[in-house]
Amino acid sequence: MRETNPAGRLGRSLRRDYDLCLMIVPLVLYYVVFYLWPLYGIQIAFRDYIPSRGFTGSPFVGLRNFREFFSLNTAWPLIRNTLRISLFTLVVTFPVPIVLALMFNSIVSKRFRNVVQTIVYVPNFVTVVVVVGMLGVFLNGQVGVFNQVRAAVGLPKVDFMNDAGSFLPVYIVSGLWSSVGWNSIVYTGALTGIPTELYEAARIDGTTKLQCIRFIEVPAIVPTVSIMFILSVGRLMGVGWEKIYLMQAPLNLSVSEIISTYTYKTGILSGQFSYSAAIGLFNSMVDLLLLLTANRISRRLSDTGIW
Amino acid sequence: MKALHPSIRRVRLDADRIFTVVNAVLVAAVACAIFYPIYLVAIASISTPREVINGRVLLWPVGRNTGGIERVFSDALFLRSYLNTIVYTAVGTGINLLVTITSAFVLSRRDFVLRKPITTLVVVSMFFSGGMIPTFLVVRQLHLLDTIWALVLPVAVSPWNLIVARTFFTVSVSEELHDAAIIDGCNNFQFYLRIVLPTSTTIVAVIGLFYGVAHWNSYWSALLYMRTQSRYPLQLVLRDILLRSQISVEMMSAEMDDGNTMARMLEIAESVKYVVALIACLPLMLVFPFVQRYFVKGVMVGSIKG
Repeated sequence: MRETNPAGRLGRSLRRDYDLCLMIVPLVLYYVVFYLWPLYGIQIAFRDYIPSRGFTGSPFVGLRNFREFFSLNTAWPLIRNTLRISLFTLVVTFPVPIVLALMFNSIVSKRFRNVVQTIVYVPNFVTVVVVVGMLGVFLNGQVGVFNQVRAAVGLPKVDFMNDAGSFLPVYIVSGLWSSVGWNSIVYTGALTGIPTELYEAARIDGTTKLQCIRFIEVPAIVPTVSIMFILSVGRLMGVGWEKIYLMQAPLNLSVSEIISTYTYKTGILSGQFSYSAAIGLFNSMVDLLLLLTANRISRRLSDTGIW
Repeated sequence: MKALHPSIRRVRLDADRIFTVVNAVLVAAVACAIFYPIYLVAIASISTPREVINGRVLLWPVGRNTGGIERVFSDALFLRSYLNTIVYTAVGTGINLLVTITSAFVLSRRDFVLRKPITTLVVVSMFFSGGMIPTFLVVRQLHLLDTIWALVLPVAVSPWNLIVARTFFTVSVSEELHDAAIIDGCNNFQFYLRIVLPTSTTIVAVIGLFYGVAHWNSYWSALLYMRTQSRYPLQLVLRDILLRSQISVEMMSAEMDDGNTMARMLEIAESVKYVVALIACLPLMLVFPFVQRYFVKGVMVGSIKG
């Protein structure tokens, strides 16, 4: 007899797979406590959070927290800084790993290639704390190596870490140092997937190596590039704030204060939970919107998307 | 088909040869540029502080200073935090692996009824979450603040790693294998424990390394949740030394006897920073070349659309 009641069918399947159900309990617990509960807690963005009354007991204030954020003249500099840092980072650091992967792929000696790849992967494992610490010692206004070299060739010393104009270049170049090798792996993977017959056919047709790159390798990595691009755009507003927080100094705050660092300072350090939750919510909504837009554009242009 | 004229072929060969050489030189230059800062830290930390400050240590060590490393390692807070990080990393990675690998196996079972809804939840969580403040309030409400659990439980599962492991199981564990095991009287749990796990050590290693490095390097959650200095992980103590120049008396005292002027203090402070940076990076850099292939494999598996 066929079972028509869906609830009964579900119950029977659950009974059959009771062991699978037991094994998934920790994950479900984790998601309930550390994902769904905070998600439910987002409502404090619309309330005046009082710890003793919890998420739902605090008085409802509607959009007051959002209005406060946008009326205080703090919002626009924060949004501008966030977008400026992330857009420049995207434009500079997105293409470089692709080029690097293509260059790796054209290396003939396998041994040389292995050594070089290992070297460029390593900085990914140097933590942001150490990276910013190294920047601090190298770029120190008086005794840093970089300034010593500048002085030796007659250039004035600059206190890079306390200089608003230097903030973005220092941030981007050091970010490139950390991530360029690691981010090239995905593309290297896509390149190794190219069947060797293609190269052999191309050799018979007498193509040069540059033509191989242009007509075989670049088309082969386009789908990977699209997906990586969508993911990067989706993270535009949340980019690298751990590092930015560490790089902040009184004299560069005008360009380095971004939405997430501000959320941390107002929320965790000053205890204005509702206000900072509202800012955080605004931030992640913008991120989600950017992701969806990028995905749609990519779907239309190249028929690849993350879903 | 007409064969290419010999002269044309030679031009092409020459062009290719030039390309190969130029490419190799460029790649070598990039690798040197990337390696140099790390090398600089290494040579600076064994050189005489004064030579470093005066910018004479650029290509090889100048003078000799082995005291720095001893001094850093005799610092109680630094050692304590190093130990803390080892414990946090071990416990955290253990929990991560237990939950992630088991769940990934369950979610890879095609006939599991809850597979769809749970997978959807996991994927959604990659792109939208409660954010810093609500998560912090939950951790506080659970009275986890300032304990190891605040550092390991909120990050018990990374959705990215879970999807990577699930993709791996979906591809590598065949339906036939599963059916055969069930017919032989295994239940799903026994199948997982006795057949799937022993043949999947690679993915366990890959995921374990990803989580391990994340714990070792994490400083943000400690900044959020930890209050007591003796429970700080390495990264927080590093921040205090490297960025706030909070160099303890113990690290300074050995050099303080000989005319402790401000300039001398600055020299020592800077040289201690080099040593600290080196010690912080060293474990990973020493281990990395041996486990590199696992990391690379992990990124590759992750890039397969699952």
